[in-house]
Amino acid sequence: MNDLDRALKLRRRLAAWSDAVQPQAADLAGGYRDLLAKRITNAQLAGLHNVVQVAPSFRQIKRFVAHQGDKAGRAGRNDVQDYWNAVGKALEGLRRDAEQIWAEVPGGPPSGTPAGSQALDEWHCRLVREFVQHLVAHSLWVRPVRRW
Amino acid sequence: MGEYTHSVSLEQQKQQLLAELRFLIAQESDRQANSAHQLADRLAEIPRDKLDLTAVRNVENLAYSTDKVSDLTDLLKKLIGRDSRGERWAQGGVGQALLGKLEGLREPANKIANRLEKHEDAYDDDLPRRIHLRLCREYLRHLTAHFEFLRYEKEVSQ
Repeated sequence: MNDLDRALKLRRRLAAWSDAVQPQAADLAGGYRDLLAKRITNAQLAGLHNVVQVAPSFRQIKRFVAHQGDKAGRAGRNDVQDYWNAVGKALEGLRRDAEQIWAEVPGGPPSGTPAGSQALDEWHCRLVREFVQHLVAHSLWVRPVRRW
Repeated sequence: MGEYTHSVSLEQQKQQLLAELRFLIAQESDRQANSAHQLADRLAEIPRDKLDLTAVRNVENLAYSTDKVSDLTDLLKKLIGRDSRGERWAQGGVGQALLGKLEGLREPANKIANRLEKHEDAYDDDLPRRIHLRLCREYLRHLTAHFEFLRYEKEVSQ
């Protein structure tokens, strides 16, 4: 398999994965429906979206999410802390999917090497970006505050 | 020699599948046209300063540039969710109707895919999803074209 074939295969695999994971992201947003808009603001959701777009590694995303949760905990907003903990857990769990897709499409740097670990981390971040896009879109749509 | 024969037959199967797929999508597209026109009628009732042709074309353009149905539904969810005054995509539930329609196209997509399963070697498990995306593109093409026509008619009559 040449590089172009591999890139196309990965792209198609990512698209299929993203469409398939959308209900899972929607369920997560839906589970915290009552918190959306008032307790979890659009600014917080936009912040998460922006961070995952530019973060060079999953560690930075994890740090951001943990920081949001800690902030909420310190302010005594335990429900919001629960939300960020659930988001963090969901994003962390995508690592397994990243490993699986990576294994399905051979030809990349071998796992266990520094190049392989970095490539896998980048792939994990790509899955996180897809998941967060679904999460944010569904959160905006499902929130209870509607004025019409 | 055996390998050659097999690759020719696979190529033939792929061509047959593509030809049948094109026919079935065209058929379903014609079937969905009226529904898309009705939705375009509702969209065209929204004042031009709230929803213009560019806004509708943006959704169509995304459909043709993405390889994911979820990108389309995410965009619509954001457009509806951000319209807190219900003046644009959320007006009268029109965006919601479009979202439901696009998601509902999964069913005819699965039916088309079922009819193509006989081409075993050329068929792949991701095909129903790709057919769904193509049906969404067709639907949005009908919707945008009719919306543009209605806006033009309104402009001429004023």
